[in-house]
Amino acid sequence: MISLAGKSIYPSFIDLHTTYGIPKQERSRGGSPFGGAEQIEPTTKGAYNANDAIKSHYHASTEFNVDAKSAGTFREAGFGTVATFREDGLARGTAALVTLGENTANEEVIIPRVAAEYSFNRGSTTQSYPRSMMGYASLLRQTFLDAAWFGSLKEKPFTDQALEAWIEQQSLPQIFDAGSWINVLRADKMGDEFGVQYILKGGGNEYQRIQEIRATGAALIIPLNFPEAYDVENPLDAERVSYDDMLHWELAPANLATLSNQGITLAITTDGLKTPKDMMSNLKKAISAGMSKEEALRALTLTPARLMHAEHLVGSLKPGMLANFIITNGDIFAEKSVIYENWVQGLPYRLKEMSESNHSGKYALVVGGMTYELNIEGEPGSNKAKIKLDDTTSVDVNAKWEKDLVNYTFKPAKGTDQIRLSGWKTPNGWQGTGQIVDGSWVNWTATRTGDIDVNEAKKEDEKQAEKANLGQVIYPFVAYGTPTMSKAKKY
Amino acid sequence: MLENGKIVRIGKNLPVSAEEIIDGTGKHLTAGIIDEHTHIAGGGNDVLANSSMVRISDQLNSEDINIYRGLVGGVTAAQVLHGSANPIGGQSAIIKLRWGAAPDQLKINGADEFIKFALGENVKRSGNDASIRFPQSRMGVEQIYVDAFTNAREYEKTWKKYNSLSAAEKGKADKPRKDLVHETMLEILNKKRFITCHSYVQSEINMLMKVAEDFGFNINTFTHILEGYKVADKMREHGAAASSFSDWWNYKWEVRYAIPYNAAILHREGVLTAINSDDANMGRRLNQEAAKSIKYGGLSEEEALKLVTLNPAKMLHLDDRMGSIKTGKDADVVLWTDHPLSVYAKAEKTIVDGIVYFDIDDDQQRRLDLQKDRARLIQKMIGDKKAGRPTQPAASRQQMLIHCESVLGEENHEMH
Repeated sequence: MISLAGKSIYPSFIDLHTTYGIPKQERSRGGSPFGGAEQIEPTTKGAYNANDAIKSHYHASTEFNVDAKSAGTFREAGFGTVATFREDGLARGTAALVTLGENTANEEVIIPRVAAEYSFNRGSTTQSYPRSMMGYASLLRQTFLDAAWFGSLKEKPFTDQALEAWIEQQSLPQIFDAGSWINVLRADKMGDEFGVQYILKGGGNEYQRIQEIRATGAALIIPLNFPEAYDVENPLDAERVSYDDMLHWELAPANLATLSNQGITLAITTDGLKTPKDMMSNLKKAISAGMSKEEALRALTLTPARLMHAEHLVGSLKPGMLANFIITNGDIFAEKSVIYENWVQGLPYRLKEMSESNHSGKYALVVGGMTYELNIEGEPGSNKAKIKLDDTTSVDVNAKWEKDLVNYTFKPAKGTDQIRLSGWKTPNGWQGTGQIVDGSWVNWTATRTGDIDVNEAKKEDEKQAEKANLGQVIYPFVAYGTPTMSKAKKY
Repeated sequence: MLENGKIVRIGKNLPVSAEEIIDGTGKHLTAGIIDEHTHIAGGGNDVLANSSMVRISDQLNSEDINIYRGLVGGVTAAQVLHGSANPIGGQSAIIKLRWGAAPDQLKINGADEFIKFALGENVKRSGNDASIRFPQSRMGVEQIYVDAFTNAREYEKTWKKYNSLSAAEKGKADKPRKDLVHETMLEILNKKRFITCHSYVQSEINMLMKVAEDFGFNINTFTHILEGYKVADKMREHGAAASSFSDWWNYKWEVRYAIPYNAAILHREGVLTAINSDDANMGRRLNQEAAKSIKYGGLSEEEALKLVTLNPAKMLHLDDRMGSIKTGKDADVVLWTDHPLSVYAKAEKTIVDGIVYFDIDDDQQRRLDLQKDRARLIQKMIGDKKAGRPTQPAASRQQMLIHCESVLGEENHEMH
């Protein structure tokens, strides 16, 4: 039995757009088909499609391997389950739904073919066609038609295992990696032509055409890839950055809020982040930009589970489901949230010591008749202690906490020798004995007097001011666009 | 008088019931300029010798600054074309320059469908010694067309045969494969899609007209058509229009015989003639390009203006809706500060569908607003850096300007 008093449990998170455990795909070295010999025919060995960008016969579950290191970074960010696929081709085959434990692939793969994946990125093929967005659209469109035709034939005049796989996969959830609002609209339109409602992976800029995005009616998988600020101190350097890039930098964190305010079904992905560990800090930015915490949690748990038809396995905490959950210090989206443990299929992965006590606070430290102001700051497990000498100066305290025992060493003034204290926990601090600078033994006490001052109120003000001062979305989203379109008048 | 996106009345001292009166005293009003041949807002090129299945409308880009720049030059409509690396290029998109509208709202509803063809060096991949793609000669180019149309007719027969089967017979038979290449070629044969063909050299122009005549249709437009003056009579007989450059020449070997009198000669021979841009920058001053035909060839001012208004409208089969100022036509008009064929003329207001998309005063205001908002964002970014947050180097993201000679090595690098 583990006591979790004061702690919170959440279902662990689900990321629908990863390549976790899948061998890295070489990018095409084909270069320009206009600069070298064109490659008209496919090179894939075996009886597959006439175009190498159609790779529906690929199944992530056939190549997936547990990658302990990568799983660890996902778990650290709170994830327990991911959909993983190979990022290669316009039709990419199927994704597998896997949990992020370190057992064998047999145990971690929970749905081997969970969704069919598509994109507007031809990937590793060296075949010359297609090379443009319209080429990608045309090839996909022709493949839709070919699949319908091939499937209807009583006698197949030839074998095409890619086409057969495409046909088989139509019953799965269909995920389209669009990557930007404009491609989201393009992919959705293509789906409409053939009666497919894609789940669309966006690019983080969907707020730039929110009405059209909403009109797709699609569920979206949205990244948190907020751009970093440009280094624009040099005015000539700054000229190199376009206005829309600057404005996107400012507005990107509000993308999720804009989407969720429209009632769009959302799942969140770590795709585009340097590491999944950056997810939470960016998601908190999205929350302070207006996304509700409830919606954020749903987009990480229940919604992705439902989109993958896996809500009976993961995404919430109910009897009979996989024991995939995280233990936190409280509200997972609070500013100082901590994930202590991430359990995957009933096995605990410990991230931070739960029993770690938080010593943070202000203490009155009395050592042999002298009183010092001891301030302990920071997070449990990484608390830092300082002695405040006056309003502007303080000295670091070398502090060691070990369960109920404590060690403090510090210089009471600049240039003096150390005071060394040893003690034990009391209901309201510590007490003990130690040696002062001249070597004499003294008793000491530290009594908690209050919390460390944080300028929370001020921060809140700043946040409000920042919000009020945001730029406006313009149409089109480039310089000389306008927030509102002019209308026809009677002239 | 403009109302609901249409020109409703023309005259002096019309009864005042307008929401706004634009004072045009001392200024010139013309129909909006129509660019028969551009690659802004989503042009591009795919690879196959017959790329008739690809559609520019699949990659229209509403966020291209060149739409706005076009408006600045008085352009209100344009045909966005596929590149010229293929004897049979992709399906074009005819758009209005509705700055700010979503991609799908750029296309002109109900406009006829067109397709780009190309002749000459580009389609043989002459610039690429390593190329192995058929065709490698001008004879091969002809063969591509003959093959494509012949196959399309065969394809049509196969479908007709299948469609003539009774329901019971259909149940037993296998359906033919639907092929988007053949479908498109068939649209051309059945006069549901029209060709605008990149062309320079007279022999090939004659060749393509002959191929078309053999298959029972006409080439709608020869675009560029720099040797058009040599075959103007034949083009008139065939019924082909000409959409040319004013005075571009000698930018490659096959255009060494281009002359600036081309447009005037074609026009005088009775060929429907237009001046196009092909290029985002030239697209901003088509009025001046048209004016050159007054200098070279002595066209009247009215004839010259029509080269970029009514004539391209006719070529695109849109002259019932645009191309001139006429009651009932679309309210696509430009108010110029000076005579529109003068180099001093600036568009003061460019109106599309009765909406002012460009206004020269508003433009000045936008520049100030932009400068201010950039300054605000720069300060905010510097604040971020000072607060110790990570930054990225200030890098430019140059947009590639596409024209007919452009063949994109990689995927189109899109901004969004």
